[in-house]
Amino acid sequence: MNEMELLIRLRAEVPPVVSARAEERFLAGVRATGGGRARARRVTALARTAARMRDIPVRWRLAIAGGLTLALTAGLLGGATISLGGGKPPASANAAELLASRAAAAAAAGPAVSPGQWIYRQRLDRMLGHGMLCLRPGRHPVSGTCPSGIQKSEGWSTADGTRNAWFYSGKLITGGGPPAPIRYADLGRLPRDPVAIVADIARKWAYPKTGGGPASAAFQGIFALLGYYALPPAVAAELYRALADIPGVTVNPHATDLAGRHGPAFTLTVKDRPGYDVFELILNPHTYALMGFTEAVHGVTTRDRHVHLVFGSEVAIVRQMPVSGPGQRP
Amino acid sequence: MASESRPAAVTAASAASGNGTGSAAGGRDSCDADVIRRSRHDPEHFAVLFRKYAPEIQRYVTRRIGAAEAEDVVAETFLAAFGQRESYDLAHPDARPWLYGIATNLTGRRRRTEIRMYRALARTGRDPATEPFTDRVDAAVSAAHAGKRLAAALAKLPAVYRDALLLVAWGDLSYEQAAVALGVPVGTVRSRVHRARGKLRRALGGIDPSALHQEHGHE
Repeated sequence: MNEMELLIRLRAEVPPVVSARAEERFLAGVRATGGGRARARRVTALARTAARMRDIPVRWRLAIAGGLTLALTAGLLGGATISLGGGKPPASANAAELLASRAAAAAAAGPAVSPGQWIYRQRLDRMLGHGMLCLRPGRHPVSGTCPSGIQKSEGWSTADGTRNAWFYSGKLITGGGPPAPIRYADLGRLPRDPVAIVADIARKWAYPKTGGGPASAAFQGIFALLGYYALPPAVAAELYRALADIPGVTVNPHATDLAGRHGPAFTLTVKDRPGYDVFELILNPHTYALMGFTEAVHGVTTRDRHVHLVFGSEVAIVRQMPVSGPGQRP
Repeated sequence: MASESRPAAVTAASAASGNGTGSAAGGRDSCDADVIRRSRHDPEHFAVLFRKYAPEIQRYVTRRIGAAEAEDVVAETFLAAFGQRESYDLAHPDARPWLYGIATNLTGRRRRTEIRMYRALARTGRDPATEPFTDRVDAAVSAAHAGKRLAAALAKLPAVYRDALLLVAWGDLSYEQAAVALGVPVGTVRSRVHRARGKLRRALGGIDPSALHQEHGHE
């Protein structure tokens, strides 16, 4: 053993872990540094809240860091939105199937796109709860958290998701992105049966990394596929049909998206100690195209179980259509 | 914003899988620049780098200045990186040298703490850096005579030698990466590491570092 090996052994006595305090400080700093950037605040808020909510299982924290961000981000690309869950009993057992059928028919009639086709996307989004309790004087228990402002964004991506583009400081930036669990080229190999699609996607979608049970994983997976890719019409139709087969999915006939537009929504409530997650996918009432998405995580603090926290996101898809190239607007 | 349309659950889940373990090495080199690029318009995405590298950065800093101040340095390191992300050269796919460089600079501002730690270890055999994590039985190296001599030698090293040496030994950086971290030519890093090792070797003298377990337990 030489001096280098001795040094390395000395280092080995310290484990590679990061303290919660360091993380909290970093995230709080991001929020402060980010100034008015709501996006920076999202992570700060969600993580800080998650750190406080020790009773919330790890999967919740993953859902906060990942699943919610998924909702925030995937909204741009979407061909449709979905929600999982099992909250309120369905008003009609067939409502979800009916809505899924209409959405699938609309998707199947959509134009085919080539994998390299550039898609322009514009959306609104808002975070629910900065992770900071929005105290309401004179009221206890406290409920709700402070909502952020609505943010408008735009960008471009290819139908197969391999290329992205956005403007930064007036300059068009292009780049790639991380691989998805299901490649665009493999979409044709998805099962044909809706129930099998749900099971297949729930399994492939990194469950339990995405948090929640199979229904939640299936939801996040289907939503991500609808959001990530500009799907071949037949595949999009199959995914919509599969939505109705996710256990617990119901229909809210009077949902409102972030842009104030009304339409029917697939909804799902996933219960989890000591809270629950609520997802809502809002469709255009006339075209049944994806219009908006809401995801909210409800929980309680460790210190005071009467304090009800809500955080998540709302997304409204304003425009989404093929264009001739990145940087081109319809 | 197009990258916002990415299935963030995928990236977050991938990052989470390595969270807290520093084991997210798979694909590390291929995507740090992408993460930074995306974080320029999607600031929250920078948290991916934190989850990926904070554990190993904290280990490096803790080893140098102790757990108490390491927490602050780690937070400051990533905040500084976050603030500098616009100027990051995206031609460098691996962000580790950049992050280690920032951490080293910030650690340098606490040089007195670092020297004090080494001296305490050299004097008592009790290692302030490992106390939160290990008991005396586990602290085989630091409690050993060789560990004390090593700590004493580290305390006496010129700061620039120590930085270069410890980036390689405790940061697992190559000479080339350490050069990037320190902003000096790679030849300079080689020279500094070589000289630092020579000093340590001389300080250890006739001690057989492999005889650690025989000596541990004296304290």
